[in-house]
Amino acid sequence: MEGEFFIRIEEPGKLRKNFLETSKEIIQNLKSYHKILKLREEKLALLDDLKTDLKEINLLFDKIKELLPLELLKQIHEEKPKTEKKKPTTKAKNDKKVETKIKPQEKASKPSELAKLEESLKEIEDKLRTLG
Amino acid sequence: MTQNQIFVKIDEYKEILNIVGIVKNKITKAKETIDKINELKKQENEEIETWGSNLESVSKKVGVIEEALSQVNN
Repeated sequence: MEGEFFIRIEEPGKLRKNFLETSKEIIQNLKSYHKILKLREEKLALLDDLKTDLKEINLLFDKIKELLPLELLKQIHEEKPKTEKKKPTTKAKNDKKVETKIKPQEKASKPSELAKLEESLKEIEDKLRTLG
Repeated sequence: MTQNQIFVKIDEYKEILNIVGIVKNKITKAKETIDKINELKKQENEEIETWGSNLESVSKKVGVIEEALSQVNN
């Protein structure tokens, strides 16, 4: 026992209470962490639902496109401004060349869903451009 | 500028209207889903805020403990 010293702790009850409260709050934080994980899981499930809904809306739009004689309208539209369309700029031609150069690269790197979406977006934008 | 006219078969017209109705329902559902996502985001933020204030409290208590331990009477 020689050389062993002890120190007196003032208000041990208060100190113990403090320790317990701190432990409680840390455990509450850990609980919070699990709650956040659960919320994120729920959020992901909802995002999946949203994605499904949007895909379905897109399919329904495709169906509407099939039913509406839009192709016919497009043909009429294209026939009308023939004289205007006959002067494609060299820039436009260059753009097409660039597109054809890019496409094989995209195909090489396994087209993701995002790439497919970008492609259909581009198609729609092109169609909108022709409508003026 | 004259608008080109197109004509749609009555059956197809009805089907189109039906599909538009379905699309509208889907959009309503999608809006509800977005509301739910926003609610979850809000809950998550609140949880993180509670986390922050809890940690602040823990930090203060650790300070009190440290102080109590350093005020030892020799």
